[in-house]
Amino acid sequence: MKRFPRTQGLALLALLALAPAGGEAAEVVAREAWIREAPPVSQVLAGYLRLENRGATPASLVGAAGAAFGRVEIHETIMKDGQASMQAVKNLAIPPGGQISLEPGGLHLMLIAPQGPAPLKAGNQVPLTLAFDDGSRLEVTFEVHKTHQNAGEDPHQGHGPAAPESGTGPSDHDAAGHGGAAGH
Amino acid sequence: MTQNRSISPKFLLFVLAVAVAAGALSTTLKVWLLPHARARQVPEQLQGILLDKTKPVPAFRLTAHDGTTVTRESLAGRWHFLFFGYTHCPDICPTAMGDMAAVFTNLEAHPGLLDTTRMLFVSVDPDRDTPESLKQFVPYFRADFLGLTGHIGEIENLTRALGAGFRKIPDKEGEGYQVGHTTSVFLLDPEVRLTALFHPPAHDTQLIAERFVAIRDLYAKEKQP
Repeated sequence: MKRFPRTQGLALLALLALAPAGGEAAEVVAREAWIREAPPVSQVLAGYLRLENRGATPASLVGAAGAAFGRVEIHETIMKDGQASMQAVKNLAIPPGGQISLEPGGLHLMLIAPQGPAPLKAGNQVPLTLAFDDGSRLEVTFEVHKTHQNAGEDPHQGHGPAAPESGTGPSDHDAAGHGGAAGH
Repeated sequence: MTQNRSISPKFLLFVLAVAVAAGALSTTLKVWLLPHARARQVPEQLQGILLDKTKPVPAFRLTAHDGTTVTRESLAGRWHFLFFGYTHCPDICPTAMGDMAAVFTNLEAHPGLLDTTRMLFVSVDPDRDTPESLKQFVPYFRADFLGLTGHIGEIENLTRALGAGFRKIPDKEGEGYQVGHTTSVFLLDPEVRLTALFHPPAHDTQLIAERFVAIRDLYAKEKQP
């Protein structure tokens, strides 16, 4: 089995830590973030979520990282000549007032080289940091589910449909505190 | 007199045109009126799923994750769903296998039906997918699912005959590769012929289960004298 360098993930984490928090950050909120539970041998997993841009300026997701994985890439499954393959996406734009869904068979976070001592199981919570092109970042807690069939419901719906789970910028801490996002 | 004897080229052209038109019309009528010799009537609910003509599966020889040899002959007498994928595939393959596990759960409502139904995951990445790695991947989705791998030529024989395909795509960094592949689920009847295709996104697993039952009913009817 191939080993993926952990250093890359750490480097991105360090970069994220240095990035200026907030500033002119677009107001992006993450919803229904989940990771598919995979067979214990899997060295590549997939993460899905919906990103809403509630701000007035475009936002662009440029990367993600977390201690649970050696490396995270934004990927899109594309169909070409009747065959599916994956393409790395450098820049995922979310228009102001718009949203973008990362879901099975389309866009996803490719989670490479799980680092934990045990394979992720349904019910586990995994924090990931999303990075945007304006330097802002967003902490999102992904919940591990077996299939998309039981991942459709918003695990935080008890906070009301409009309650943001987490947000970027100075209000990040507040929103995360209420919405259940972890990783701080 | 001379005019009567020689036939004008225009007239010849006219006769020719009429003949061609009549020929075309009669062919069209024949095709129309004659009963379809081999194509079957596809019920509306199975349009786009059931093939109007079955396709034979050629001989092949692969190894299952439990070490047994699987050939064309060993598939006879049972219904088989086939999916072509690979264990290093994080999105499409687990999604499809999870969906098929849900289809099989739905089929448990029909007593005895699963005794003659199997799900096969055929690796399109035999370099990395050994029987041992398939053993840790395929039954995870459902204990009775079977993973197959083997010589790449044998896998290509199978994909070519079914109209499926796959290709290795190296990573840009040159670290590894992914495999592009067909994402349809292929259904083989007990005579080991391709009889239906389920295309993604096929998340409505209840619908797939119902359609599979309808296809089996239709097959049973066709077999009646």
